[in-house]
Amino acid sequence: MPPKVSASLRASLIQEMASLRAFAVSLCGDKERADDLVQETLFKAWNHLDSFREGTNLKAWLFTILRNTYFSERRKRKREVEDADGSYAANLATPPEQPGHMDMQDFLGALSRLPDDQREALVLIGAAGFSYEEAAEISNCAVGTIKSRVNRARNRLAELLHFDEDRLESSGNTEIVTGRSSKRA
Amino acid sequence: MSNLNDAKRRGKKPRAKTQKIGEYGDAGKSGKQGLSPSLQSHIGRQLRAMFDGVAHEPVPDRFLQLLKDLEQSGDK
Repeated sequence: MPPKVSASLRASLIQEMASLRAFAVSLCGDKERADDLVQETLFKAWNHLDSFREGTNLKAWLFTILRNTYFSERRKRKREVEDADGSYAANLATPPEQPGHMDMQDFLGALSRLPDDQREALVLIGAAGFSYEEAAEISNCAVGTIKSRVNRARNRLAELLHFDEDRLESSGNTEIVTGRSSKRA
Repeated sequence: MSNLNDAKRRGKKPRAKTQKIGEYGDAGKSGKQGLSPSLQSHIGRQLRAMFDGVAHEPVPDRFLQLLKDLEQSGDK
């Protein structure tokens, strides 16, 4: 039974949709899937709004629902088809439009090749603006675990994107990992 | 590229003690720590650009429609 939702809570819910969607795209790398994920999250959130304490962190609550939905779906899928980590990159049909940022797609491709937990941690901390403590709560793990995941994620990204100091100095157009061509041989 | 990755994966061993501090180019290989601040912030900028790029797109109508539908079903 859907609860009676206050106008302010409804407004906050709408306000968080955009970043929730960005989180979904970052996690699954595919806008269509991301939108389905957000839709499912909103549906679940609405039906469990009575368990949300108004005044607490709505954004973190929504992100938690979304990542739990994503990971349980992913586990299910993994059982069905043994899903190599390259499949995510191959599914990158609709990367975010970023005029002037030709390497954005490559960045998303590289992000997609990180282990799920590392990608999640990096996005929560580095883009979504959560604290380590909040991220730990969202991911249901220790703060130290989030920290080490973020570190490993950064190192791995630098590796995948062939970032190094020299190239960084010389141009913004770093050598690119094409992501899609290289399903691991 | 893929060979490189596999090699790294296999070569996962404790970081050599001889790693020089400041040799940031090797940070990825040794795994644990040591990306330079400028490299970290470069990755950070790209990450945020990607994230914000999506976050600044208009919210799909279907989400707002969903809320309306849910609300209406609650009223009945």
